[in-house]
Amino acid sequence: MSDLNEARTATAAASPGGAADGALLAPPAVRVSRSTGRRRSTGNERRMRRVGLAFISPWIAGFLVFTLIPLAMSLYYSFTNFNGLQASKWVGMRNYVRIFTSDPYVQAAVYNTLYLAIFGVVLTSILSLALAVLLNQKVRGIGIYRTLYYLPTMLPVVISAFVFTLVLDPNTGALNALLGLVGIDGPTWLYSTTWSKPALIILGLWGIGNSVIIYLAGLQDIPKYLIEAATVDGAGWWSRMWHVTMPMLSPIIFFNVLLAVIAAFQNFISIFYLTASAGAASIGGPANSTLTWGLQIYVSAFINSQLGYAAAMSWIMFVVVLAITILMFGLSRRWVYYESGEKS
Amino acid sequence: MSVPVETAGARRAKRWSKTIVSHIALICVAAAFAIPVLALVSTALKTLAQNTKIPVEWIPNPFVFSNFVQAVKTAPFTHMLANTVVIVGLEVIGVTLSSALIGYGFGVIRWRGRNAVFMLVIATMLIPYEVLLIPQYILFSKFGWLNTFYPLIVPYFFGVPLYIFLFRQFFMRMPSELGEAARIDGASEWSIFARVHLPLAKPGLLVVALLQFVAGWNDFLGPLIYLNDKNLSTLVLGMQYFRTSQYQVDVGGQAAYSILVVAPVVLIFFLAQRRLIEGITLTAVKG
Amino acid sequence: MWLHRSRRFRLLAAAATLALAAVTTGCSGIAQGFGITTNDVPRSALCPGKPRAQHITVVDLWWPFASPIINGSAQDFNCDHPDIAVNISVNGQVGDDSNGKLLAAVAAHKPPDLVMSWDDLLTAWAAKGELTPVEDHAAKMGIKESDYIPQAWKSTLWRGHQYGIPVDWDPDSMLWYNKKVFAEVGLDPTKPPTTWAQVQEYAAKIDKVENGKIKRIGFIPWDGWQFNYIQLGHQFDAPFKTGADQTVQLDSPQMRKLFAYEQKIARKFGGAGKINAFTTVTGAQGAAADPLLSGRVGMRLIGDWELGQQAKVGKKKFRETLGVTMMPSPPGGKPYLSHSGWSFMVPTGAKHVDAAMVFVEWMLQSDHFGKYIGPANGWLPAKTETLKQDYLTSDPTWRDIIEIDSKLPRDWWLEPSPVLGPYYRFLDEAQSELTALDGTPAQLLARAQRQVEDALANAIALGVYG
Repeated sequence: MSDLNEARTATAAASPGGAADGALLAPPAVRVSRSTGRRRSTGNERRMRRVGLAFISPWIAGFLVFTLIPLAMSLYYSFTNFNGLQASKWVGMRNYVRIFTSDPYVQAAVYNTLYLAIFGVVLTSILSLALAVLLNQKVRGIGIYRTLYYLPTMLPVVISAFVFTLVLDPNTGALNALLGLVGIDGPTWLYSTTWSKPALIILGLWGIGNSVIIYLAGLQDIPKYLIEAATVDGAGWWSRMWHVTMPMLSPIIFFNVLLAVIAAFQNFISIFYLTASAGAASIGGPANSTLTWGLQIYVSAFINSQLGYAAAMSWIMFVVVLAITILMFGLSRRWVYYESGEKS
Repeated sequence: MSVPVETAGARRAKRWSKTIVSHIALICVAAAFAIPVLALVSTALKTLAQNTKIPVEWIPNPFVFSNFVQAVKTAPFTHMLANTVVIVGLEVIGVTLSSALIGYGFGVIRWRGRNAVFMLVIATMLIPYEVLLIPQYILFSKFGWLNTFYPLIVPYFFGVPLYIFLFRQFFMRMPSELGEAARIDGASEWSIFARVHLPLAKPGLLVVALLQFVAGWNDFLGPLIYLNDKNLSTLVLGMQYFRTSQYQVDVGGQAAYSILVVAPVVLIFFLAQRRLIEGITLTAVKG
Repeated sequence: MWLHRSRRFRLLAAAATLALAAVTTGCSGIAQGFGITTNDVPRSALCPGKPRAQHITVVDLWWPFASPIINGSAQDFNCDHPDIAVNISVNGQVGDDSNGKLLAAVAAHKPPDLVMSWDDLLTAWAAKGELTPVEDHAAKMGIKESDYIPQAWKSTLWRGHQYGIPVDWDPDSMLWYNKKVFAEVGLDPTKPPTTWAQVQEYAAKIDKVENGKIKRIGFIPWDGWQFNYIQLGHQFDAPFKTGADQTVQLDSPQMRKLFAYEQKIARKFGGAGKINAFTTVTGAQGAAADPLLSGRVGMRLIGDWELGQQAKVGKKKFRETLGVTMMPSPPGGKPYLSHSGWSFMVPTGAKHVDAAMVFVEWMLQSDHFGKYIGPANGWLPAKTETLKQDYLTSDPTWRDIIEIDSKLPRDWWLEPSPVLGPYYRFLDEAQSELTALDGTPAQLLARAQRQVEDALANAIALGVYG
């Protein structure tokens, strides 16, 4: 603790009038570097670089061993007929060609993945924003609401999926019971080819708590004077929402949507658990209605033992995710507004 | 242009109706969120006969605790609990210390190229795990680590991008003068980190520890792939024990077991709610 | 403030003690988790009462489904062979390895010594290099071809080697019927249908739909054995060709007729979604989960393993409720009875093959099969001499089945081929979409045909087929 006191006194001495605690929340002092193009690094700079690299060396080591090397291996496998057991043989672009031309499941996988990604992201974004807006008013018992919305995200995926096999059961599930109360004869959800994907989206909606919290914090961050100014100018609720709140929130919306899209493409376990456990179950759901790209990778790898092919599929997924990310970043210049004018 | 003036009364009425509508909406959504949890609890408290009855008995009458007793017996509960505690404990220690160290390296020490490398760190979050899954498995099998805890624990000692980001933010918000005095005195960067910044980073350490605790406790894919032996299972893997045949599941037992498995996480959540939420908002909002 | 902190501290201390307690009770697992092997033979594998032998070889056996009685067999075996202990672990999907655990174990050179799996996967796994040839080991143990049903033995051969020891050889697709349901709708419970037309007629009598809700179904041809479409396809006289000459014939006029028939039934009840939601009751166990025993369905095409339920409901109740007969063929078709079975197989890289074979030979002795495998699973043995076992000769239902079985050749349901997996997966999916009312028989079969031909071409090009 004495070190802390030393640090406190040092800071207090350096910045008169600033308490140590307050200093923790102050914006970091920016040292504007005035480098004009390339120049040789000074001795000090080289020393700092060595120190910096030393500190991040664990990450570098981990990156090399657990990310870069597997990435390279995976890329290599995608050009072979590797089946996990026997020596692999180079087959060039054959796997990739097969994916684009003759794999019978690619069409279904692409359609299902896009369906779930688009509808899932749109619905969860709208719902979580709406909830955050509602919670942002001085509502009583906000703690309880926040807890209830956030709790499902703390559960392991297999347990959430299990809970939803109970809720979505056509005969004994809560959802159809509720629908029955208003006179609707509920569909067979996970057993049905048309309703299996909506069932997955409903499961996804249960996990929006994370986004709600983030949006709520973002809403609370919006300077009050802006809202007040708009009100004084006569803007109605919707106008305020559209012209003040949304733009101020747009960086957060952007990142949340981006992360949601990436997660939607990667989602596998919950789909696997749900479709592999419902009644006359098969991976991919009734008539392959829930066969997603990730699921098809699993099938290729572990059921068909075509690990090279699975690697090719996963690389295509990687490239698509990258492309979407770059696209979204590009589009973000148009509609994301950063108050300080800086780009993230 | 003249602004239409509302009477004070009308404005109050509008505010009231807005509040009521908001409340109703919030309550409806909250109820919708609570229903699955209630269904789980209800299933756990019912016997087999009650669980397969149609029409459904929503509030079990009478309710039984036999499922909980049976759940602990069906799956080797104490073993799995021990395994999970050890694995998650080591993960938490490894990830908090390494991420703090690495975050410091990106956030405090000024060196050329640190922003570019940091972008790379963030970019690795884009890699879908499907791409790395099989090669990592093969790598670990070459190390001889299959069917041990090592593949689950060791990678966390090398930092996790999300937590590195968190710590970097955290350290960047500390005044840069903090270590100046010590630096002038000639102290090494390491001792400045360990003695000045790290103790001040306790809130950050706590948040990361909590986040990793939840993630580790709930991890399913890792243990599924790397822990083959029954007596190495973690709690979440134990869900498999309730399959009585290919298509039959003991729902009462599985529900009871699920509740037992999530109980510690829920407890931690209630105790540390504020910190957790602060941590999450720190990454997303202020980032 | 102070109180608040002390409460948190107490909670933390409690959590820490709990954690410590948990850790100490689970010590052995944890040591193993860090790579410290304890080489402990599980007590469940040792003969109770007899002293432990000095040197014990442990055989790891992956058993595909929970069977309370099978664990007893390990102890019984150890009593007869004190120097070998069999560690039986239930590994849910070893049957088809749909969770890839066997593949992963073999790839990591740490496979189990013995697995029991379906015959139709044997060729695929052998072609991949996942299995070890066992003909030498089998010969050493005195396991010979002449003791077994010829088709069962042949199902374990691939490219000049033997990759499995057949355990059972079952008729897969017989017409079971619920006598109580028959009586309820005015049909004679002692007179099952003997013609195709009668099957349809009885089914129509049993069907019950009220207010759009299904209450009872007479006959769902695709429900029961997973590959009923192969059985019925044969009965419709569809040609199925694969194997050595590598020609595939999925799309044929006869198969289209079968599919049209199935789709008609599916359409009657509103599609497979509704039908499956009716036949499956979430959470039901044992007899209540069985659509036939519980009376939800009046007739069902399934194999002899339905007799596995007998242990759960009791012989008397089983006999009173269920009867079995041969499935009649449609007009213009031919009689047929599909057969398949499970085999003991040895994965590549297994360390204790000889000891495993000792166990296999022991388990397949008639009295052991009759105790641990036959009645519990509802299986007919692949070994001809075991057919004289008590559990078969003393049970009227088994006698009925053996009589049915003896009327036709005990043919394997499909020729062996490493591409068998995708073969039936495509057909399975075609049927799945068909019954979901998502396409016509012609479209779906044509597509399945293309898919199988393509899979074959791909297998040959990649060298997987050989």
